[in-house]
Amino acid sequence: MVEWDPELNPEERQADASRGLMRSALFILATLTVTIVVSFSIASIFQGVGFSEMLLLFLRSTVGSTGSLLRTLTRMTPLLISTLGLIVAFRSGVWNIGGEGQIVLGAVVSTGICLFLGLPPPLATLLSLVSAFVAGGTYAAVAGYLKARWGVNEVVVTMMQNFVSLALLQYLIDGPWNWGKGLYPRTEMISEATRLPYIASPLSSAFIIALAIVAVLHFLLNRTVVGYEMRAMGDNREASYAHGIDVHRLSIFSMMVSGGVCGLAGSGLVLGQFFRAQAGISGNYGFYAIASAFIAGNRASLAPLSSLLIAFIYEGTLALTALGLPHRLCEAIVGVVFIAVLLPRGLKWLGGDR
Amino acid sequence: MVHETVISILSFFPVIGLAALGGFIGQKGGVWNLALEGVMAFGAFSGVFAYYYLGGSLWGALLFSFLVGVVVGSLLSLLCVRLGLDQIVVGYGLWFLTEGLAGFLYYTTLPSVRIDKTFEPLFISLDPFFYLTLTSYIVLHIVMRRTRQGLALRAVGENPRAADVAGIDVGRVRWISTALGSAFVSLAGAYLSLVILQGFTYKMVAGYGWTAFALVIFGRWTTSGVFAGSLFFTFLIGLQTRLQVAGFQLIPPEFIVVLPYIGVILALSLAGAVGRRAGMPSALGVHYERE
Repeated sequence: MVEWDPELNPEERQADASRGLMRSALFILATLTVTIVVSFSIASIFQGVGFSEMLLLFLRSTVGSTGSLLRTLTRMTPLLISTLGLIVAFRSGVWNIGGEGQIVLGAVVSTGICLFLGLPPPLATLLSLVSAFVAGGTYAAVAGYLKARWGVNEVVVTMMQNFVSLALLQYLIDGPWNWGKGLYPRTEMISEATRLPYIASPLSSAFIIALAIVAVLHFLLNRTVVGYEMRAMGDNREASYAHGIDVHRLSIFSMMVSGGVCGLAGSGLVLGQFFRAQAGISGNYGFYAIASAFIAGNRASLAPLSSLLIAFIYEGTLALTALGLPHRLCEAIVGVVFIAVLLPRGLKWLGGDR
Repeated sequence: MVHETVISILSFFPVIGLAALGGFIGQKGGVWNLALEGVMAFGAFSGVFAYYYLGGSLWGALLFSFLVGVVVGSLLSLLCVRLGLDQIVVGYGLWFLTEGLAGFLYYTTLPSVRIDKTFEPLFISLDPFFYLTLTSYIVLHIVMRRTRQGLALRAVGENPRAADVAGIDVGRVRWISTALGSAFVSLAGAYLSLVILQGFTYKMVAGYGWTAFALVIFGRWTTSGVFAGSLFFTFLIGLQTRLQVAGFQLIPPEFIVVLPYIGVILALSLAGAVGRRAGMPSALGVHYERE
């Protein structure tokens, strides 16, 4: 989002970048405000729900109290982890849009390990995190391999993979892994000792894992050779190839890391929030993460802000369902913000300034 | 008995067939439309909306939703073709936007509407819309093969630079194909809500938009391939629901639903492995900028 101007010295460039960032943030907040005002107006005209009532509930349930703040941060955790996962791929110019499927797979694998292997608790938790990373990573790496080996379009493959793993989850919780109690399709709960400890209920230490991943990926992308190669490949695949970067191997690698991190998001949902696999556990976070990654301009350091923004919208609109508003409002608001964020880039192109 | 089952399965064909047809037209012109699922939901909403507010005519409602599809497709075209934004990113944004708006606007602006009208069967118990879908495929097949417009559409999808040199207005053709494609997808959604389900429900599109997207690829970007794939998948859905109702299942229903998705991955990989291009338009997803 921030343009590179070779005329500027480092300090000026820094100042320019932060000005650009400030502008983007203000623009996003303005768009969000307008969208909320418009949608609440529609709801109050047609449904007769009070405008201020909606606004108050929205704010109270997201930032109004310690409890609601903690819920917003809980919502933010899987979003942040999967956003980071997608950023790794997007920065490398590889389209991993299978975050949702990788989250699901991570959740399934985590649940399976905690429920059926009978390992001692700390080992079960650790193995379940590692396996979720490996499972999500391998799953995404299939798409990376197909792209590298035969030029198969990874957008299509990762998207299709989403449905396959969602179906796998559905099959397991309906059939072999079903709890056998209640109508709601889900598995048994994992034992308390295998769960991630709370920071303050309901916020689990998965949040700390998420923040640690921010640091790790920021370092990987900006301070290591492989990160440099990834970004170079993302900027220009042909040129990177010509400069001797093994783009095939690197595509598979970045897909693997990307899918692995998304798998961790699924593991965190099981170990820190639901303690079981159940229908809808992935909460569409993998899809929202695509919006989140783009709002963050594909930068790991900005991912916490964009994930917080989407968690805020998610949690607020969820509370509004109590007033009879559909939760689809969340998708609509995120959609508007998403497209609004893209617009300035397009308009700049229109002016010929590139 | 068998005859009736086949007819009732076929009555679902317009939903899959039209959505895949719309996706096909859009991709053939070189623009990914990843928002099919959302456009379909929005079409489903706008159909019911028009039925309720514009006097309760089925044809009127379907036409309205077709036009809404043109508007949505034009927005996609404005962002991707005119402004040159990334098609995948925009497609995702538009998916969120349309699907979210459809759900939000339906539940806020409409009471629970029940569609009490239905089409009279035209021929062997299938309604006019079924035959309209068939006709659309035949017309499209002829247009793609035999007309200048069809050639122009293929040209901008395969090699926009050459098309430009040959005097074709690339931006215009891509705009038309994107808008027309979205219009058919929207129409498929409206048919689903107005005629099949006779109302709008949450999550009603249930992945059919993505199925349509997959069928375009599975059909190797040919009219006959997409048609055959849509027909095959219509039967698959129909058989699966009927087996489920009858109370027995050969394989879990979850796995039948994912067959087209797995099929797409296998088909693309196989085409890649044997060194074929899989028929994908060469400039699909590539923004064209005049020099």
